[in-house]
Amino acid sequence: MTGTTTAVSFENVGKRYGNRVALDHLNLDVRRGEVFGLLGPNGAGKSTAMHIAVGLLAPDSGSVRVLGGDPRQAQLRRRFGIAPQKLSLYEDLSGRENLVFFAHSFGIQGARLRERVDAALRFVALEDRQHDRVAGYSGGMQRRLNIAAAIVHEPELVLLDEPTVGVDPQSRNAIFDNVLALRAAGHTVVYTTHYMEEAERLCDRIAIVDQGRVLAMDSLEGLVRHHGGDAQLSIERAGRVEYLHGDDPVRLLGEALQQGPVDTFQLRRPSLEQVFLTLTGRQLRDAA
Amino acid sequence: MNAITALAFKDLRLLARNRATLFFTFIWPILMAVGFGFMFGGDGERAKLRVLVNDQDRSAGSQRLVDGLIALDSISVEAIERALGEQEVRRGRAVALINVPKGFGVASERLFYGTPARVQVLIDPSRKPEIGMLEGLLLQVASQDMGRRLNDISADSAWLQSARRDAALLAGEQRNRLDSLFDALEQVGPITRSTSGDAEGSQSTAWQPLQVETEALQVQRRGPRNPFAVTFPQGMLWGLVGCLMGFASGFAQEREKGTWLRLRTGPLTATQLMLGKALAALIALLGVQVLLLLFARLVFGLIPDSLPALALVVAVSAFAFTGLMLLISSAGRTTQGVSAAGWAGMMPLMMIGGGMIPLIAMPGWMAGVSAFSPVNWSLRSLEGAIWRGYDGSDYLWPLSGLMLLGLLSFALGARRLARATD
Repeated sequence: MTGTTTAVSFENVGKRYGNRVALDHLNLDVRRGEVFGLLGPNGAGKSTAMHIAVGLLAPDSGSVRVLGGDPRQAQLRRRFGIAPQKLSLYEDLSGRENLVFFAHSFGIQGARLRERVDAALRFVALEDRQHDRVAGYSGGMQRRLNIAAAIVHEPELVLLDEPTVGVDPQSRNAIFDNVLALRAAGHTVVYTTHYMEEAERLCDRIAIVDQGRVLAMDSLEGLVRHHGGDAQLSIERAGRVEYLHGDDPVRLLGEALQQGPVDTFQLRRPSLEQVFLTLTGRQLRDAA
Repeated sequence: MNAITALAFKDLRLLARNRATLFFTFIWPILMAVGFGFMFGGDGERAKLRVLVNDQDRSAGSQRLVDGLIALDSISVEAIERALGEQEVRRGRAVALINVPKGFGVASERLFYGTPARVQVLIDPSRKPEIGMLEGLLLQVASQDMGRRLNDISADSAWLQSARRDAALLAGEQRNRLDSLFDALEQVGPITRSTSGDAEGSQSTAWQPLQVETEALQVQRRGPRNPFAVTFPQGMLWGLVGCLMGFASGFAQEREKGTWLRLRTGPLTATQLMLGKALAALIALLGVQVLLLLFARLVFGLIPDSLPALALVVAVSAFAFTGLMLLISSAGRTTQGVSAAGWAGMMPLMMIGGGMIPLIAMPGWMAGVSAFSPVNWSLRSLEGAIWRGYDGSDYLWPLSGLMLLGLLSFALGARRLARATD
């Protein structure tokens, strides 16, 4: 599907590094205006997919369309921005100098340059530290500046590659707010992560990637419905715990109460963790 | 500011903020050039023009001329025998030999008439600007001497008595005119007017107190006039290598840290990105050479034989080392890898190319090997423009080699970097 509603489309994309298969007939479609999550363990092929999406790598097979064109076209590249997993910043320059330089590299000049740099700094709440050298920033501040550098030229599509790696909870929440603000402003966001709670909290749709293939792609509810299995109800009665499975946990609880008094009960919804376990046969945290 | 100049400006700003690179690029070469210059016999003072004098007249008049020259700050005057003096000039160790012929003292007593005093100046023809200055200094000394004598006129002035004796030998009308002039001068007494400025100028147009005859000597072998003429080109090469390595390491660091990846996702092509890098390196490589040359000129009085040739050599060397920078940048994936590969490549070239042992001091076999090093091409051309007195044809091969090296290195390095998957 490569219609006007599609921001990124991968069709049967393959990529090898020597004998190692990085992408194995990968199929993706990212819709405009959504936050799309690529969830998978390290080495699953997420970063390779990102690099192909921004034109850094050419696929060995299959086709890739980004914003309706070939991501290797220079003009098209003005319309997307990437925050790579590595902090791609000049540590000896200030935060502002970094953004000015990256904006220049996109051909932005004059009043618009100042306006865009100010807006990007404001977006990631680094106005107070804009004149400090990046080397003096905390890890979380550097991550936020990394995002600011990706959006300074106001791209339609923003690709965030593991943007919360190594940051404190406070900065992580700030980055979450940034992602949601980008969606609210109409940007399309592709978000790679191996943290399920991030995908659950932020993403409109999620693709679960493992060993270079998309195992499933849907909304969180859709994934859980199709691959998460039943809800699990546990009840405690007279010091004993019983686990009950079924499509309708309310009905199960009602039946348990008819059999006698219940001291406590716990209802556990299927999660992405369960989805991943179902699809791959192993826990994501083990794979990562 | 377009994107390529923004790239270059950013790299220069990063260079300016990296103290270690800054030190090894700009300060270390100066320290080396100055240090080795002192070791090779530099006195640390601003170099004076070395002028030799052969006084064959040995009269009071000739001694006044020599004393006047010695009193000048801008030249260093040494008495010498003619043959030895000519040899020194031929070897480029002195600017000129001033021969003061017999009869100079007698001729110098004549004021405003007859044949004035004459000196012969044997010169190194490659140093025309300095010779012009020397001629001016000789006239200045002679004029000052004449002025002193005009300020001390009386009937018993030696020069006036001598002039009256000379005039007595002349024909009637001319003798009468001079006698009238001498009588008038005696009556006036000491002249208190200034002997400088316009008055001197108007005298010299009609009659000069000194005739300067210049004769060019065939220069046999040129050596450096100043030890800093050897050590500063060496220092410039160290500056070029330091700058090259700084940029190559910076480039590797950029690839390692991911900023290069971010730039490659932007609208600039790989070629444009390379050009931005190359522009920054080229500016810095030009800058380090110009800085060292200015330092050598201002502090040690180093005057190149040919400024246009020097400018050409500096530009071509910067171009060649810019190409080498890109090639070395592509030699590894990490900063350490690039740095190791760069030094492993550049150190032997520096060692055999004259960066450590001056070309002038190399044994024959080493000079033969040295000819294969681009460091030698650059260094030899720099020396050619500074003190070797190269002709245009002497630059042809080394500069062509440097141009070719720069182009090939740039093309190969850019190709490797564009293909590299970071």
